Amino acid sequence: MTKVIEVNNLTKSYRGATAVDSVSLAIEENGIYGLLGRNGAGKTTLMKLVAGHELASTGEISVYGASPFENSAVLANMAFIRESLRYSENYKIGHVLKAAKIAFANWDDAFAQSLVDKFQIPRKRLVRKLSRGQLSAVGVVVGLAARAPITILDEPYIGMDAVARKHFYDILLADYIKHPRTIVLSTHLIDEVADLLEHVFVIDQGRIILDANTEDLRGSAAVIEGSTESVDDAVAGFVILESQTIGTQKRVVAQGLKAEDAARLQSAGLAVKPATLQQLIISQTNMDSSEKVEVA
Amino acid sequence: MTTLPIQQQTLVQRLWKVVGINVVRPWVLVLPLVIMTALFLVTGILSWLTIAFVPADGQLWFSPEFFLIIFLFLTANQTIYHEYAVSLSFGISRSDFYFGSLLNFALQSIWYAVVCLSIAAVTGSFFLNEFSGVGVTNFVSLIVLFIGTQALAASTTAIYLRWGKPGMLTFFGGLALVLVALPVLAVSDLGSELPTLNSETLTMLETNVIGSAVALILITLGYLIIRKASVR
Repeated sequence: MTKVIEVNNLTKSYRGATAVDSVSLAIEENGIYGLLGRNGAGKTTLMKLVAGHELASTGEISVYGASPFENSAVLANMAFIRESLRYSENYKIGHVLKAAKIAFANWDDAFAQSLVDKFQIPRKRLVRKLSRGQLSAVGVVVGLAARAPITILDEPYIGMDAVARKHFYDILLADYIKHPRTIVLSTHLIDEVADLLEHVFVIDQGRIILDANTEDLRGSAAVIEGSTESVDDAVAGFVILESQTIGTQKRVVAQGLKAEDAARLQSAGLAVKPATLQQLIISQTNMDSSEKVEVA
Repeated sequence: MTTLPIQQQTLVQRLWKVVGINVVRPWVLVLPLVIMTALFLVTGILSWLTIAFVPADGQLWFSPEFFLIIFLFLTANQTIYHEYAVSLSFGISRSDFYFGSLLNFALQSIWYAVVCLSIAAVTGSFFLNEFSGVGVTNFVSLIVLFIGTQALAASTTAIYLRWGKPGMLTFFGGLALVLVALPVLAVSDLGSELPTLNSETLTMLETNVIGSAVALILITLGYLIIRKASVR
């Protein structure tokens, strides 16, 4: 696998406020990456920097081995779709698709038209008069049909309802299998996208606090539930990411359990199940943001 | 690092791509003609009705050409403002977007200059103020006027894109100061020593050269401003 995006010690500050703080990461060719974090964590700023929409305060960004900022050769390989992207006042969906067809070398018009029908975007209504969900669907259609070698999707589906989002995830995965490319998805709806992602970056207060392969991450922690006393005895020696006590019952998210540990705890009457990506990430973001978690 | 999957296009291809995006709604090219025709007819009817009040030289102060200049300013402003974020999101660089849009403005200027001169060839000064016949100098003069108008719109919009409302307030504040200072300067002793620039002392050629220089300065300033503008 070869790296297509490399970010080294990247910082972006706005009048004293640091939106992205000493971020370093690498993204390899052809994969679905998740950039996860709470609202205001720095996801959009980081994506804007990678797409050349902003200039970094310090640090380096390399896309296909060159800086993306004002680099036509690099930018021709990228699509950056944001939920907040506003189109021309008098555009209808047809105008947006026509502009995208001109802009993107790999544009698939038949696929775009089928997506417009699938997401039930009104063709005769002005884009500015579409509902938030429909406007999100416009971004999704462009992002998918562009088939850009690097597709960055900054929560474009956030205004869509649950059914439309499920359609989006299914279509994204099916299209990715047919046309592999590098896709970076930012979201705070972690559980919804968990099955799509091959690798996750978790950003919190501008810093990357987790950089891990999703499979490794899933196997790295478990949720243990039982009486407070037995749970306390059982988890001694493990790293506790999160702990919650309700009455006499306790629930912990513990890191570092092996299969034999899980079997031993289960035989002792405790409920043990793998932690979901969302549970893990919530645990991590509750920690001190200066602690970057390493997952083997 | 892997090599680029999509190879870079030539400069002309890249700029032409932006022109295509600019005119995704071709109606923007037709609308001014429709309104100009309507205004032309209305102006004609009104002047015919009030013929006794029209000055002896037959010159009208408000003509379709005047409307066209306002229209071009507004459409250039809207093009730069609305299509900047979309174009950058669609993988186009700022430079390509800016110069591609200017190529579009230049082509539109030529198109409207042809239209204006064609109508004026039939109607004379009834359509164009200061009309002195169909010729290369007049043709160039109209193109310079139209491009200059659009360059002004592009550069002022670039200020907004780069610095937002504070930038616009500073710009218009500065402009207001200049507009106040100029008449003061003109009546002062210093003003009397400056060379006089007005349409009566300048030839059409000189006007075109000065107009082109102003347009070029505006285009350059616009580029310097927009090349580091963030996408909001």
